[in-house]
Amino acid sequence: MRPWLRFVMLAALPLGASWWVGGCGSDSSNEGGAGGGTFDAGAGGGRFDAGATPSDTGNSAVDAGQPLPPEIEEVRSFEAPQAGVRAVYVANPSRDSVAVIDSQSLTIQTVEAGDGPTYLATLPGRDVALTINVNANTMTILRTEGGVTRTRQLPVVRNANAIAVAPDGRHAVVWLDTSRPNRGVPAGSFQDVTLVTFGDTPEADRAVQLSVGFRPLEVIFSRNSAAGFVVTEDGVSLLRFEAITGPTIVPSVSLGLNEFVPAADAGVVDAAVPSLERDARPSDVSVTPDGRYAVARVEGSRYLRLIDLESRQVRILDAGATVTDLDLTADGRSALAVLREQSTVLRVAVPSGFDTPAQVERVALTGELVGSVTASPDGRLAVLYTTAAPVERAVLLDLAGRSPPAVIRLRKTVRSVTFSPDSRTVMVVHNRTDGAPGAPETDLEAQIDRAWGYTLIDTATRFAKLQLTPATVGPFALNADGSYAFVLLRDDSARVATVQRVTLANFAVQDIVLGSPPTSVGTIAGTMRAFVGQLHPEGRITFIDQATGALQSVTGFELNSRIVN
Amino acid sequence: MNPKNLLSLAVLAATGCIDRPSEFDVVLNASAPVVVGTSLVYLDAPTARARVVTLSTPESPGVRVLAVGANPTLIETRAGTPASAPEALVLSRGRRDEVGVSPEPGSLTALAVGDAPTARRYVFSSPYNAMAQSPDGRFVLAHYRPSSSADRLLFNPNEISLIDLAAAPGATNPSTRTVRSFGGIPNRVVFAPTLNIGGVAHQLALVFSDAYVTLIDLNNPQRNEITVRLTLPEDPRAILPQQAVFDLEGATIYLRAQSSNDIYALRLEPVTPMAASDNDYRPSINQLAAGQNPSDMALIGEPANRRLLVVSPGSVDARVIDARANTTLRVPLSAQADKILLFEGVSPRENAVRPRALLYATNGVTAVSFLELNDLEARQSQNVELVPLQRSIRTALPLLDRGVVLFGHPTEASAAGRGAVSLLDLGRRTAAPIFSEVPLGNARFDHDRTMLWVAPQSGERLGYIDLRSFRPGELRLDGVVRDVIPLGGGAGARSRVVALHEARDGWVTVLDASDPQRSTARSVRGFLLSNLLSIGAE
Repeated sequence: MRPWLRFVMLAALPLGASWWVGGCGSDSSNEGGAGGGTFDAGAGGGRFDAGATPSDTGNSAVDAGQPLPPEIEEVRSFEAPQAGVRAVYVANPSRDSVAVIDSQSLTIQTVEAGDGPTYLATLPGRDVALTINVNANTMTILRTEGGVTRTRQLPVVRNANAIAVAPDGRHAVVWLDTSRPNRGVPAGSFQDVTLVTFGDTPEADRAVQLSVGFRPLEVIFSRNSAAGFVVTEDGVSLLRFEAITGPTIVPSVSLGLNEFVPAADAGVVDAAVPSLERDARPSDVSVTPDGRYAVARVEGSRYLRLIDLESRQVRILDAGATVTDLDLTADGRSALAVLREQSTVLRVAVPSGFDTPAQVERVALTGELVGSVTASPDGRLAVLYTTAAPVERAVLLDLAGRSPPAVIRLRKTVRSVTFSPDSRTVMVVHNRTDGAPGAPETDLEAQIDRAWGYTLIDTATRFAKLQLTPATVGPFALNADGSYAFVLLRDDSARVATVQRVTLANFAVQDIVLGSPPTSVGTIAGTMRAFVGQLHPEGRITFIDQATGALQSVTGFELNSRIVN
Repeated sequence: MNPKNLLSLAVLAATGCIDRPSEFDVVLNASAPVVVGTSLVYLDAPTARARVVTLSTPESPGVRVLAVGANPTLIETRAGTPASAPEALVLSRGRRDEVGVSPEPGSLTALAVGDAPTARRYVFSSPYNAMAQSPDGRFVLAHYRPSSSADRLLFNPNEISLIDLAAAPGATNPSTRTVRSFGGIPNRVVFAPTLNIGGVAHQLALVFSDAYVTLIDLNNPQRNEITVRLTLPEDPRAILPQQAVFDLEGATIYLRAQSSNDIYALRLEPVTPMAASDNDYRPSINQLAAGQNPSDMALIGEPANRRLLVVSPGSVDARVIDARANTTLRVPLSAQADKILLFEGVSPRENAVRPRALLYATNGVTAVSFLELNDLEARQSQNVELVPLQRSIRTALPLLDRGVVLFGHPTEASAAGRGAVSLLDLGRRTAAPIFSEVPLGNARFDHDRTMLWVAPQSGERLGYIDLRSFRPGELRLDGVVRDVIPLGGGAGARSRVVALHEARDGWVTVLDASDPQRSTARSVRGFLLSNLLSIGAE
């Protein structure tokens, strides 16, 4: 089936409203708000390069003559330990095992996995983990119940390094993400994914190999977990789980505009749609919670795409300027598109805004350089900012339109922005400029710029608190109800090995010094603890009581595994 | 008659017989005695008999002979028994069969040394040569000493037998098993105090082997032992467990091991057993960095804030380790220390009685360090006070209820005019020398720790220090004093000490410990010849 395309031009839309004109009413839906999140604000995942941002080069102003780089989004690392409801799973590739740590009792089982277990994920709400065994092209599913872990091994696609799990935990997709560190693909295909269906018992688990579009980039699920959407360079491959009973081809719904390419251009020039890069990789693909629509942008393009995933029709919206970021609100009714060069954000009703220009609202944030948007989990707010220029401000946008956009002065440039699951707090991680933070000859402003740190913003009062840190802000985790954050700070040369426990109700920060460098962090809903994985030859993990900050550590996973009963 | 002559006569008389039973061909050779209540118990290995010499009334000592298992090799006072019903434990290796001699299995004999001495014997098949008792004296674990021969064609060095002395001998008492091995054999057995694991009291025995530790549930001997390795297979280090410290409230065992810079924390968590042989607890191991060559450790702090204090002479520091958080506070020391002595007392600057620590070394260092445990995290090295002693320490005898520690120094110190003994006042932090012509190695406190007794081993004088006044004294006896042993006493009984003299027929001098005088001393001699010619024991 060929996509059906339609253009809507927004060039004639008026500018000038300083905040939302019109509005679509407030959203009270809360997608994904039930679970705590883990974020790697450091170098993890391979996409984020803190050294590439202008502020790190010492620039203090935007150079109007130079094009700004793309906005940066950060990704999650699968190599880190992962938490279930009560258990934490730590892969040990060198010993072909996974340590299963009970976060309450701290007992450790080491369970044999396949050859080279490396990448881990857990199923939501369960003590079930899956790990990709990179040397065997298999995955091991670990089910922990009553202190006992059972395993099941299934084949997966070659060189897989990424896992996506459906919200209900019944399905997972395993694939090779070439944007992450990987083992290379000397032979084989970039178009294979494995769909894993988890049964009630290990024997009922199934793995099915599917052929999808070229180079899978991301896998998204519908809110009801009935479908998965594999975002590829070719478009979106729809996985309707009930319909998949065996290996099959899953054709993509294209995000591109192939039918507009005249035969004469030999597929090189997308002549019918100027400036639309036909072969460009889509970025910021989001799927509405009901799985009906996907919205996407292409880096450097002014066109937004809306894909009807049922009819496979594609609609195009000309935003009038390059769209530097795109996000869906939690209820999926609106897409937020940022036009950095116009200091404007569009709120496009989904799907009607792609057909009716009146359904596109726009706000001009005059004088503000914003290129990225992060919408709150409850759909009521969005933060606009830029990671591409040394701008020390962000804009808090009330999507309900009850209050004008509020400019938040940050004192440092932005590396990433994260909402707490309850949407009450925004955590802004900052970049730093070169130079020693504590150099006595520098003034306070320069010292702040040189320091690492993050800012906490209370969304109700718009109060912002800057917290400077003695080391770069590493991975951090927010617990499920948004009451605490745990921030890793690590500088081996300066002997900084600290986790900061942040009480988000009052922004109080507790420094917890660790015995070894922290590498990963997460929260555990079942035991109300956080875990901090650390660099230690025998393996070390520290558990932190979220409410009290009390610590417990275990070291020596392998020795623990060799306790014979 | 001189007892030596009597012995010679007896032996001559015995050897003059023809076709006499082989039991008469043995040489009288009693072991050094152990004190059991107000009695001395000698072990006569060749005759497999224990001689109980009751000295409650030295003027009329009583001697009883009790049979023990063949080839007795160890005798100990049973721990934890009341003064009214004291017992001795004798480990016997048994006997191989010979022509005309029936074989006999190994055994443990518990000798009740009361008014009417009795013996009960626990038999096992193995010729063990080592045993360890639980602190309450209920359990004995018999095992093989490392690097020893069993005098058998084949033996299993990892075999152990657990004896429950509170139960009668029977088919399951002793219970014998072979502990799991990773190539090592038991080096030592340590009994843990009762640990509360998930609300259930557990008595555990720890068997130290090369690079691993075995945990045995004494209350459930039918359950599997748990083996905890301290190194990975590829680790070539010989990690030898040496010390165990127990956090009763936290159900945690801390292990220090030779050749390891880590302390191993074994946290015991309750689990639900799936089978009768499964344990209802499981340890998890945690490695705690403890400086270089940690040599001693002790628990400090309240249960809710329990921490481990470790001294590491290699890094010249003390470390306070929060095992739960895996955080370490390093406190540099000016003087190396390898031993920890915890005490409660005042300091020169503070009259409040608080927990404090004395850190000292037995490897030539001539100063000790006091460590204030209060507010240590904030004050760190400010809490360390160095006290020079002018001489190195060889032994330390703490007398904490009197607020002093008695240090024994190398004899060269005395020769140099600095005293071989010094008294360290823990409150004032002053060290007073006491001159001694004998080493303190054989010094013993008496029953109520009011006197310290020193046997010179080569002279006829017995030295003592009255610990109430620190006044030294000495007493001349009739013979060379080989050793001095305080006697146990019942409630209201006079405290006595016994000086042992060299004599094969048995010779002791009994003294009033609180008022030692030659005029009130009583010498008892020849008691080992009592019933010598009777074949059967009583």
